[in-house]
Amino acid sequence: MAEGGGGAAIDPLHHFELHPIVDIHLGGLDLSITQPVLWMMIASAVTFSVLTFVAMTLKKYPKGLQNLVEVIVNFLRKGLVIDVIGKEGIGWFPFVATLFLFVLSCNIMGLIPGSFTATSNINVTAGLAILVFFMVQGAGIRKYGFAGYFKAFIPSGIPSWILPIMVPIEIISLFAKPFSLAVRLFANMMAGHMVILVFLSMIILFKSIVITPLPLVGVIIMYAFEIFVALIQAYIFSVLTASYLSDALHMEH
Amino acid sequence: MFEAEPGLIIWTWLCFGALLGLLAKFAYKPIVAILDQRANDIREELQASDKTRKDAEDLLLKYQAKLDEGRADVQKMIEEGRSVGEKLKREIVEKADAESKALVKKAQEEIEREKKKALMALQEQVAELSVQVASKMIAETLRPMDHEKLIAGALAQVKEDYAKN
Repeated sequence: MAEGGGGAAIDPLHHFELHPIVDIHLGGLDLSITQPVLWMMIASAVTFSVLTFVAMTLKKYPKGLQNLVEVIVNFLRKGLVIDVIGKEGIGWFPFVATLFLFVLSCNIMGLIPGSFTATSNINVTAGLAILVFFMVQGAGIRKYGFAGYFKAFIPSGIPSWILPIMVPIEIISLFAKPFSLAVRLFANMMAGHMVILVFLSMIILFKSIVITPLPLVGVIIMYAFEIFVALIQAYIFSVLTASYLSDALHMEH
Repeated sequence: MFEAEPGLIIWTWLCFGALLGLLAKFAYKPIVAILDQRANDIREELQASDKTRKDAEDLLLKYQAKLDEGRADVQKMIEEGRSVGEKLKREIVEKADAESKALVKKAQEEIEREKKKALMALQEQVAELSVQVASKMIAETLRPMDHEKLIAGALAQVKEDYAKN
């Protein structure tokens, strides 16, 4: 992240370009390990290590890290899954909780200078959104059956002449959800980093000791704001997933 | 930056899937279990403390009832004691009164008896003295009229002495 320029041409977007660290090609598919892949792996490894360490050293009277993990897990289970989906949604707790922890750790890891924010790449957020989309459809189909689930998209008692308008709207809405999910996370994470990079570029661009404190203050404020954004975006991503799951599991409402 | 990278999407699924699988297997179960266990413990503790409080309240009520009962018994006993004491006091006083009356009566009778006895002894003595006086008078040749006068005088003297005593 801190590698925001240095040359004559300062391009903040340069930071977001992908460079293969390990080249892997399977058939026509490029499976190279790029910066987002590496940082996703690191984020996953850190999340797994912290949670597993806590799980293996659980004490009856929690303190320190166990307290923090318990608060997060309890919040995800009670505040996110049970409160949004309901008691029947408890089976979805691992999926929603992992989504939150994965997005949060990727967002937070991206704040380390020199790292890469995996969630600032549309392919990563799209991958997660596609996964959520299929999970939500799968949950609905499993509960109501294929025909029953898609029939529920057309509310009963609707005049038949509205159907040609209603059905496309429903289909668009169905795909708009994962699209908005992917774009929201990607745009938020990229925009925040872009602002920081722009501020940093200003320091290099102006090369003035008088002006430097201003973008520096901007960077500090944006950095603090980015921590908040990292948390809030992870929460929004998982709460919307829980909400879509709830909609799919309660079609009768 | 905006190009579709199927490889990256697959890596995202792989990373997410691996994390989900590992966390579900190693982390969530024990953490959720301890959270549930703690919630259960707290619920049980609360229920137990509610029960203990209820028991204590019941016990307090029972003890209060017993205390009231005991207090009433003590009051009753005091009342009984008081009435028995009163009765006993009355009896003692009555008995003492009767005894004192009997004693006084007995003393009076004794006095009367002694008085009579003394009178009789006095009369005997007077008679004896009278005989002696008479003997003396006779010895001095008294006339019958003087004899009677002397006896009457002596008797009168005795009566007077008796009255003084």
